[in-house]
Amino acid sequence: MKPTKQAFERLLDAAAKAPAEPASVPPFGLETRVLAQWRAAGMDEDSVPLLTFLRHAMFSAALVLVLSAAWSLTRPGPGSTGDEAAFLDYEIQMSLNP
Amino acid sequence: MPELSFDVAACAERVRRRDEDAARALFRHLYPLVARLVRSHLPRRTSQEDLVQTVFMKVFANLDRFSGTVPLEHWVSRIAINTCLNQLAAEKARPELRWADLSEEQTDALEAATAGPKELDPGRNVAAREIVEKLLAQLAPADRLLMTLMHLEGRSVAEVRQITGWNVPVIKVRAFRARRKLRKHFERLMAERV
Repeated sequence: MKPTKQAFERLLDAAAKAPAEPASVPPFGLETRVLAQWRAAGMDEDSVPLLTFLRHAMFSAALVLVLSAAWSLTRPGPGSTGDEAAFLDYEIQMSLNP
Repeated sequence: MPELSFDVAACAERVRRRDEDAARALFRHLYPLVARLVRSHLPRRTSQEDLVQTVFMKVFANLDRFSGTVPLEHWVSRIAINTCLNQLAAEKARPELRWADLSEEQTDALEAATAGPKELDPGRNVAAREIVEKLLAQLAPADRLLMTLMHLEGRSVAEVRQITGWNVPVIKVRAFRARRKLRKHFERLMAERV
């Protein structure tokens, strides 16, 4: 075995035996931050049904608007009957008094 | 809450029902595990605290998807490891370790390692660990992870498979190559010795 290979093995063995730093206590403030984020994420989740409802309501309102606009365009308006009557009246008058 | 009586599954279930005390208890129970994993695989430019926080947010956000077929600790370990791997992958630059970068204790530990066939004095173990961690920082994230798990933490192939989700042949081949690469970095460092 090459000397550097032996040295490498010894270094690895020694590194593996190094005591691990105890990490039982979280640093100050970390727990609070994690829990605050968890709470905020929960509030976001709670607001999802409300957002869905609002989205559906907006879609329905837009649909009603479009349908009513289409209906009003296809249906003869209240003015068109009067125009027709005036036109007929004009035709009659012209035929009686040429 | 005493550690022995801690019912992880019940606690996780309470967290799913948005019980804050349970979330706190779960955090305290899992913190040592997560902190140890994050510290072992910590990218150079990321703070340990930030990464631990990220891991916990992923754990809490995905708790509904935890099926319970494996122990919660294994599931959390995998999340922690993957988070660290992603962060390591984001840090593309891996500067080369030079002899001049080592402290006096570290050069002494290296001299002792090359001096003879004996084991290093236990007082030099921490310095040896620091050198190995610096050498590991030059490896690709997956290689670094394997070397840390298998050679520094002494985990078996089966345990590594459980943590990473990789299959056994991949782990063995990758670990062999990673060890060879690490030795080359070590030899390069030793060649600089005056």
